Amino acid sequence: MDQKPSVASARPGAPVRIHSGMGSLVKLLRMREVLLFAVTVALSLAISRMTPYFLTAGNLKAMLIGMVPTAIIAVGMAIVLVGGGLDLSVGSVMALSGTVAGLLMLKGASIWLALMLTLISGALIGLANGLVITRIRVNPLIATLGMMTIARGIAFVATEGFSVSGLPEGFAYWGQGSVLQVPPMVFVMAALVIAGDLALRKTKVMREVYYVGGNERAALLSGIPVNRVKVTTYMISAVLAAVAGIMLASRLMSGTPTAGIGLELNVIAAAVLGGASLVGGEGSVLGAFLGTVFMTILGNSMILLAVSIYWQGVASGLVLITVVGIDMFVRTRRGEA
Amino acid sequence: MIRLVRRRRPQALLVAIAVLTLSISIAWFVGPKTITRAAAPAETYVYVSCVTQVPFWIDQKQALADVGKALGVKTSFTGPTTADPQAEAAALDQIIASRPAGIMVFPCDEKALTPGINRAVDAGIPVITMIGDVPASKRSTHMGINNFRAGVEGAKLLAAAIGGKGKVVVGTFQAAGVLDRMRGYKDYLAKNHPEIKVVSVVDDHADPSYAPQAYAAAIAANPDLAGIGGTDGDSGVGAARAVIEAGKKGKIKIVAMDRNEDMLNYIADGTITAAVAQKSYLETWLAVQLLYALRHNSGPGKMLPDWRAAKVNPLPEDVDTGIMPITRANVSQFRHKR
Repeated sequence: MDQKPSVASARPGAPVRIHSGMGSLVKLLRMREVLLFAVTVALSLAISRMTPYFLTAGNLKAMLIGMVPTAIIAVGMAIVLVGGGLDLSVGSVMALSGTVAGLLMLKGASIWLALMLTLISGALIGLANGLVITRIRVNPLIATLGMMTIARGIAFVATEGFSVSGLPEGFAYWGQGSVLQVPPMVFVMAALVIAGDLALRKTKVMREVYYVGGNERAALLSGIPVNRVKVTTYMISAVLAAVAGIMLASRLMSGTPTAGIGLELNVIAAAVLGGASLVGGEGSVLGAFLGTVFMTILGNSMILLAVSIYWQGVASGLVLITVVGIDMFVRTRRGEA
Repeated sequence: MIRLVRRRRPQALLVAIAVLTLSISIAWFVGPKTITRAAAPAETYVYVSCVTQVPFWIDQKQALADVGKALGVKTSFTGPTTADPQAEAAALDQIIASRPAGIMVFPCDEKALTPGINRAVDAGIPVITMIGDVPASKRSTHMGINNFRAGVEGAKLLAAAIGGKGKVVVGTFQAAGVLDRMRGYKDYLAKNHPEIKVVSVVDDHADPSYAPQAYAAAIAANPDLAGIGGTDGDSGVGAARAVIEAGKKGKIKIVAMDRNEDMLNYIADGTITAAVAQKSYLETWLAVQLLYALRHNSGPGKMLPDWRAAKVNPLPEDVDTGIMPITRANVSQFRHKR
């Protein structure tokens, strides 16, 4: 597959690099991640000069715990974006999963059974998204937008607006336990990020996602099962959103149908910061994770610096545009974009 | 080619005639009945609000259902799920078109809803504004305490909880009513407790997945923080989680708002000192009763059946229902029975 000549596409740069082998792919990915890492470090240094409370154990721990659900979802979103798709339903699936897990436990299911069923429900939602997009050919934006409102609607119908509390004590372990000073869900996040990044980079199955996203027609003609790959990305995204919902419910010890409204846009922004392209074929899980870290630090800094809540939206939007803008500018100068 | 074209035209014409005939016959037989039915709707009382998905409205919805059953009328609760005054104004106009017997409105924004309320009243539908007033309109009654006063009550409890001095953070999110609560907090503390300093206002996005992070950052930024005052339902659990995770349970006092179920456990174990709950059920129940009385010229509507001609408001201008502080002592009574 690596030896096939590249097919002309709307984005002349991308397919050539992917088809010419692993080395250049890695080099491209590393560029954006290194830049993002550098920007994150620079931002952290700047903030720690402006307030002594940024680099404190308490603050760092709080940020780490707080970003777990978003980071887990970002792993899935990176995979979907690389495949050329888009999943707007993740915030709603997270909320729905938390409430489903909670309701199952209240009905008497054991914690593990409830979690299993919740993950299965996430997979089914991802399957539905994937089938609607690949078989019925609904645009991913519309399809996942519809699922976004449906999933949250189901969460509200099932809970009648109440948050689901009174969950069994054992369930608190993931979000409230303590392993090396942090709740176990931090390790779940780390495991998923590392596994996701390695899988997307190294495994043949996942590399097909890059081909599908980079040039779908060429991938199809090369014999890649495009539809199956796409459905798989949506299922991964939804299952990870379900995991995030479970972790969140464990931390709050309550399933909340109102959780994560608007989360999908933040996650997409984090993934794009990390190098994903909305057109597909580019990006990495590690980049999406770094993007999440960057946005978490940004949000945290504005609270630490007591920036007026009315200005916070303006500030974060400007920073986002600036960071991506610098990278795109550099790329255009190099002739890569 | 020409033959095909000629054949297509008569076919299309036939189809068009068939569809037209079908629709006319349907309209003829079904139409008049539905129109007459629509002209005599069941007696309905509608509550129009915004941010309709948050648990805050649970009590109002319950009251609507209960009082509807008791009086033998229909009730409904509607409005956009976002804090969107334009969407609420649009919803109000649509409700007016369905000619309910009475309308209750929680105004997302005073100015945006004034014209709609006036249109309703001019169309013969009395309007009661709930927990937020639109005094420039023709509404009959303002029911409940407004959000500013709710914030003031919260501030009183917070000041008492921290002993009258220290640094506090107020949590809120960007919706008109909730920001009013935040202003109530700050106003009361500024006027009555000079030794209490509001060091910052935190936006928790009304998102239970984000709130703990926001409060945790505020706690990290103020190591000597004495208290957190919340102005929305998610501030309670959010602040409680942040305080517990920072290991400061008991050192930072929390006063929250509303009566979200998942917050009650934290009141029971003392993490949250108190929550300010409004008497939402009472407000809604009373509002429907008053609107019903006006409609049927019964109760308070009896003495002045032609109040429109008399150009008098037979209902109270303002009903102050006060608040209920939920504390450890009474928290068990506030659990919703489901």
